[in-house]
Amino acid sequence: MMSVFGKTSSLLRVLPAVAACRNITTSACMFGIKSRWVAPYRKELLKRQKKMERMGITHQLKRSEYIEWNYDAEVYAFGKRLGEQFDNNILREALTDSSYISQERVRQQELGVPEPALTMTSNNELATAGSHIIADYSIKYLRSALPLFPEEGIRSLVDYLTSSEVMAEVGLGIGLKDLILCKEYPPTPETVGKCFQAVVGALNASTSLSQCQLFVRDFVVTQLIGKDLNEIWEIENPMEAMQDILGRSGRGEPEPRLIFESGKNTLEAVYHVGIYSDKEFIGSGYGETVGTAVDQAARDALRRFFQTTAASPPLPFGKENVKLKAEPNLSVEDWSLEKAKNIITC
Amino acid sequence: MTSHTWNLFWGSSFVRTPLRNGVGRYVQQLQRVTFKFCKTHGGSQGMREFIEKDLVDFAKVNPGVVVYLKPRRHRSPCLKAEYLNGEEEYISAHNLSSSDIKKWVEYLRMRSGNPVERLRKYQHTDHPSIQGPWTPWTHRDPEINVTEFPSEKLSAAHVTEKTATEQVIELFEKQKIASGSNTS
Repeated sequence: MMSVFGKTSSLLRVLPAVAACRNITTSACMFGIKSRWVAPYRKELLKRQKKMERMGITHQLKRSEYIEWNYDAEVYAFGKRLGEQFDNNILREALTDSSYISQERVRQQELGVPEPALTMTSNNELATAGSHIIADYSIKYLRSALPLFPEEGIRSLVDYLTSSEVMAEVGLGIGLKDLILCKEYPPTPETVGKCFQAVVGALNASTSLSQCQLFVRDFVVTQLIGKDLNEIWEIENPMEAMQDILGRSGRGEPEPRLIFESGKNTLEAVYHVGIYSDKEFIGSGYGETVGTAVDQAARDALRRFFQTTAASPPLPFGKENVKLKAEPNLSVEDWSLEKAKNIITC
Repeated sequence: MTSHTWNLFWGSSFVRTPLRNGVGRYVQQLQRVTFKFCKTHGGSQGMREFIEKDLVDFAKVNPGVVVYLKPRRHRSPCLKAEYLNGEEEYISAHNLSSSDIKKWVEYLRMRSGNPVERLRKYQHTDHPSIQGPWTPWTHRDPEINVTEFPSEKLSAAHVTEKTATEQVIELFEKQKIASGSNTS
């Protein structure tokens, strides 16, 4: 068994090349390359990988199973890398998943310890505390950064930020994969996300809430960069929503007008529709049919109302100070141009 | 290896940064570096010198990097760097001098961990325009909506430079103004 394992570990080193599998034979032919070794080499690697899978020995080594592994040093460097002062014991608690504790208990019982004396605590409590801090800070931050964006939209942005995918992405990005103590390897996205929330909770317990909020801003809220806010929060019926808003504001009915059209009755038809209220332009959009163009124009008008167009300023990060806003933004049901005038935008 | 073969294996990419690094704060992407060397062999001499002279300073300046030393009898020295995105990089340090190793460590320290690939461009944006996509009517005058076609004005040849006749007329007008001011 040892000899087989020794061979596989040497195989594992070359195998990542197979993972990004491109069809070398055809692309080499396409580029006119007369290489006689590339395709046979890749085929051989693939053959070996399949053989290992058949034998069931594709074991992925944990980083902590290596000789050169010092958990104390790793935990110390983790805090230093992020520029934060963590309390060592609290950080260790945050990195301990409950599955690890139950696994350890079973292992000790198998070794003949009747009552395993484990002093570890899992990160459940810290994760709950951390998730509250993340949700609380990001909602206040976004209300302040996007003062005209309706409360429903702000809430769906926060739901996106606190979703397990985003949490896991951030957790993996700051290097939690090797540090988490958990049963499975590699850790599942849920475990990593929960562990990241626990790290935020641990930072709050170690330092102050304001320091913790800066951490959340720098690592979690920045995930909105490059994302279209109107795609994360999509209004189902934009035309109706706009009609309601204009009605509440005492403005005339929205009137879609065809501004341009081209290629009518062809495959490449384009229509450009503008929306006017009281003969005043409020938005425009285009599409392959008049219906889609009107829908797009209504979306554009709403984007202009809520100041989330592509040309609107980016979210404030870095040294800029943001006043957190506890009271909710206007709801879509209450949103009107009159009320929006009273909101100070920066 | 030809450049074609290089592209087949390593591919190409755009400039990118892990986890929006640097927007809020900068996080060093190198998470651990392992120095593998032999305590007696001549090939590791530069590495041993580096460890004696410079390693402690390196570790002090970079508290976020975990440094491991791994002596291996009669084997060639190498550096193994691990990055936050899970990538690894090996640098063979066989027969390298201590100053060479210092430069390689500096190289590993400053990398993002993304694979070394051919960059398609040296700049990249996900949103090339804040004005929205181009349409056939971008920057068009809406006047053509209400124009009756065929229109003489729009069918006329597009002239950018002055014709010879116009230039002569202009000269004549100038002369007239000049002579008029002289007489008065």
